[in-house]
Amino acid sequence: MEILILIKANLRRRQGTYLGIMLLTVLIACSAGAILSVMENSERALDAALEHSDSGDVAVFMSSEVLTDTLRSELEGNKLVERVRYLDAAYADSAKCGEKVYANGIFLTKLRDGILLYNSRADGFTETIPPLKEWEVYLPLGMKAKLECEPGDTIQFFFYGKAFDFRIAGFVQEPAQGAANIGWKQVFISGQALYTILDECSKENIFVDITIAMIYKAAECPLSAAKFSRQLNLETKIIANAMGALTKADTIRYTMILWQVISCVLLLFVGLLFVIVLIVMGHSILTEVELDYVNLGILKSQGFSNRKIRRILLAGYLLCELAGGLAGSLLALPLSLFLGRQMMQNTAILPNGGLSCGKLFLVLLAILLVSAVMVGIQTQKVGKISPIRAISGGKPEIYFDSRLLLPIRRRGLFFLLALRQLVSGKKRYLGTVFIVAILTFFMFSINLIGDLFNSKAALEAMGTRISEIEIRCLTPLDDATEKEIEALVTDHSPIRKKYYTHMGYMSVNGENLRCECHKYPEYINGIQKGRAPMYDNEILITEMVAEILEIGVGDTVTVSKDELEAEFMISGIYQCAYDSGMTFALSLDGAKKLGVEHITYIEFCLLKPEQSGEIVEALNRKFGDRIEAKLFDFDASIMNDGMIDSVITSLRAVIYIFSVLFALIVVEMVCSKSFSMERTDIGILRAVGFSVAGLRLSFALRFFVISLPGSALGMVLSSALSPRLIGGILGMVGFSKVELEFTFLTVLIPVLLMGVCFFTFAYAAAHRIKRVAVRELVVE
Amino acid sequence: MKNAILSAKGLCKSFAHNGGQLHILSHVDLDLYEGDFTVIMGSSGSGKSTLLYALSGMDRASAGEVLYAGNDLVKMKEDALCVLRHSDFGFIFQQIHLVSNLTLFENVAVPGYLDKTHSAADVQKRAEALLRQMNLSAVKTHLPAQVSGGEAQRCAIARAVINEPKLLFADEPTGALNRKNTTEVLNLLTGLNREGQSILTVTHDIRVALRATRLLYLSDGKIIGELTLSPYLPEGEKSRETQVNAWLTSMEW
Repeated sequence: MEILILIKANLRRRQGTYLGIMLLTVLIACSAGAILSVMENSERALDAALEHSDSGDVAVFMSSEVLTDTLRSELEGNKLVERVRYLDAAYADSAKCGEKVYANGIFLTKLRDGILLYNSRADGFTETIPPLKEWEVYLPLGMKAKLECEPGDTIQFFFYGKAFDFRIAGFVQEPAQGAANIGWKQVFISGQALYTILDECSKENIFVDITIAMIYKAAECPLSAAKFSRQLNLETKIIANAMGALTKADTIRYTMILWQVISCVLLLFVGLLFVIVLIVMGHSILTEVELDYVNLGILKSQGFSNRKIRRILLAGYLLCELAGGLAGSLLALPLSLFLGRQMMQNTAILPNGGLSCGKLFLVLLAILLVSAVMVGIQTQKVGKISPIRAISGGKPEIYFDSRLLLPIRRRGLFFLLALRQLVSGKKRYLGTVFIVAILTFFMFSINLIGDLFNSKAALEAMGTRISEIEIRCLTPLDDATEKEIEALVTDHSPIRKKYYTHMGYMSVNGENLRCECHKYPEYINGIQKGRAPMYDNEILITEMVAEILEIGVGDTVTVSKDELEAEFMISGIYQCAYDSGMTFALSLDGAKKLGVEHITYIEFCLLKPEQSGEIVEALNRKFGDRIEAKLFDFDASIMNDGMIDSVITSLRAVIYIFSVLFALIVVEMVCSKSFSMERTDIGILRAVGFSVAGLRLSFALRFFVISLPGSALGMVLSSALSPRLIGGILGMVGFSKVELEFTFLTVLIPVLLMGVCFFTFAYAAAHRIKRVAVRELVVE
Repeated sequence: MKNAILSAKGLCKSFAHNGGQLHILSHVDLDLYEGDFTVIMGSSGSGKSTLLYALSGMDRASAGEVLYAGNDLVKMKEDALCVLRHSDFGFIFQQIHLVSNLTLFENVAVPGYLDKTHSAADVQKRAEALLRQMNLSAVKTHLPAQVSGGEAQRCAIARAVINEPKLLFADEPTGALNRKNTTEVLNLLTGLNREGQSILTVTHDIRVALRATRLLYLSDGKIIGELTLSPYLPEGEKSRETQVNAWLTSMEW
């Protein structure tokens, strides 16, 4: 009973502190709950959608000519396979809607069962899906944002130069390839339109006739989707003969990858915010014990044991964390709905609603357990309270010594007073320094990621090809033409780097991988280990491929394409973010063994980039019948249509907003504690003539000063930990080793933001100084 | 005829109490004169400290006026009162109240820095001189926690006079001191008064009263008696004590 009375009294007395802790817990529980729920809901929704669309375990896209009866029967007869469903399709190499171009492969197939049509608000599905008229198309939702199109708009599909116009009839959920970051798309048209396209293209010898083989794994097959596809390929060469393949696991991985990265960053941030809550609690307990020395001493003199007093403190903190956790959980529901809608723009899957209660419960439990341990450690100080000293006057007088003891002078009086307050209570502000360090560390890190994707040099060092001019070869080029092209370019500018490539898909030990064939392999970027594939029996693989296929430098692998296959040795490991790192590279000489005779793509990096426009014009003028030259579009190069940029901008906004909110709550809490501890000093200073504004300025300056070592520590942490942290996160998309560069702005913005926030919030929190009456110094 | 340095007219102070009003000061009229060592005495709860704080502008009266240099302190804005506190008034507290993380020297110099009429170098010189005068040179770099109560109160006196105030207020300046330190502090205050410093102090302590040149007696928020004394001389203390005691008895102290 006595404990309950004291807990209630504590809650009343320290409303501000408990409210602060509660608010911080609300923010943490709300964001962690929302992120975990969105991820779980989306994964569940994707699974359900894949199930409903009946897309098979592996979808293989192949030219109908290649899919011979023998291959069909071999495939259908394989013991790993339960059944195969074949879909007719036409392959378009691009699409255009208004001014927006979709420059990726599109498979136009007949509308089939299992495809759901989104309603006009895209927050649900229509009950039935109306059949398509001849030149109408249903697009996957993922194309809507990219082409900025609406139902009723006209979309043009290009089949190697030949175009067909369609009217957009609506947007559908196509889970297998619908996500915005999966390049190849399936769109749905009427059977009549499909066969018209195939006929007309065939008449003009344009080969766009594709079969999509949807392969279903046999129930007794114990292999995962990825291993099943690899094994099937080894046994039938179905994927080696195909344009490409997509397993169910690939679909899930590509659909969720961006949000996995985002949630990983956010959960890490939330985790660090929890560390901040622990620091705040620690600070709060320490100052509380100091401020409440007399009361606690009296309790001890009345027979309250250390354990009982500590339990009272623990109960107070845990109660407010529990309240914050529950309130945060409630708020997580609308936030998860909002985030789910945002996520849908990328996944194109309608997420399920609801909270991930199990995970949220575990998060809350973890918060309470860790906090209990923390409070238990911090309240050990209660044991040092002496009832005798408490009753005879309380806490000891301030005594301190420091090298930072600058003399107080008239010049900079307020600043020097602020510094003195800091120096005389160093321990009290240490926690705040760590808090600023954590917040700035995260702000630095997100800035570093942003800078990374905006820095051509960094991306190039990480394996991305950044050029000034890109050329698509419309016909195979002979060596003489290539030399002429180069001569024309060098007339305007020396060439810094050149990439003569062909991109395609090949199988490495059965695994279907994106393949880069380089005529000049010495220019391959981002080699982490070993060397470029200089000989025709060498390949470079990424770390991810090495991990999945369990191979390394010096190992021999079998690379196959169509009916051809050859043995290659791994000459090195390189970094490449295309297809999220599922890539390998080899020389054109090596690729010739697998039927690749010519390069199809050329890129030039110039020493005089300003000449690029002129060069592009000259190239198109002179070689326009054989090539299509254009300026390199940096923004569209990294990932589709600046998606990374918008994700980083959103992440940056979230982290900055949370940092400001945390700074606000932390400053308010620390200020109120400092204020309570310094009330007498403030009264004295007011009595000797200091104005309220002057004292508030001094208070604010003190917190501004605290933000500086905090920011410096944040920078040290960032330079030590950010490369590993960012590498770990971006490793999911193929960048395991990142080249980070601290720029002036990377550092300045967080430092300035924290400085300004701490100054402003402390100035605002110091309004309490107005309430200090000099009369308080009077002892009647 | 002495010049009034500060005048209070119809001064009232009341506090909200149990839903009603508790009247502490009731229409006090009072003039403080230049060069006087005025001591206000009265029983506990008579409103001595309240009167001191109202007169010094540390607290605002509920009604009436406190005129200083033509300005009414009751109506004065907070910023103007701040200036007055460091330029024209000095204040000594019963509980000493030095800023705990400033050294004794800094405690004295800081109010000096606020008053821009003297250069920083002059303030430092004067602070040094005052600390010397208060016999605190040896401990001037010490923090308040490192010195005795007497030393701390002497430092508080030095702080109060750093800006050469026109009027020095003291609230039970010896209330927290032992006998030896009390004598030291009183000698300092007497010395300052002898040099022309006007002082107003409230006290319970007869030893302080003996140093006064003018004694006022406050009862139930009203001044009910006044005694004028000649300047204090140690050799005349006995007869002075008899005179003051008699007066206090007549005031039913």
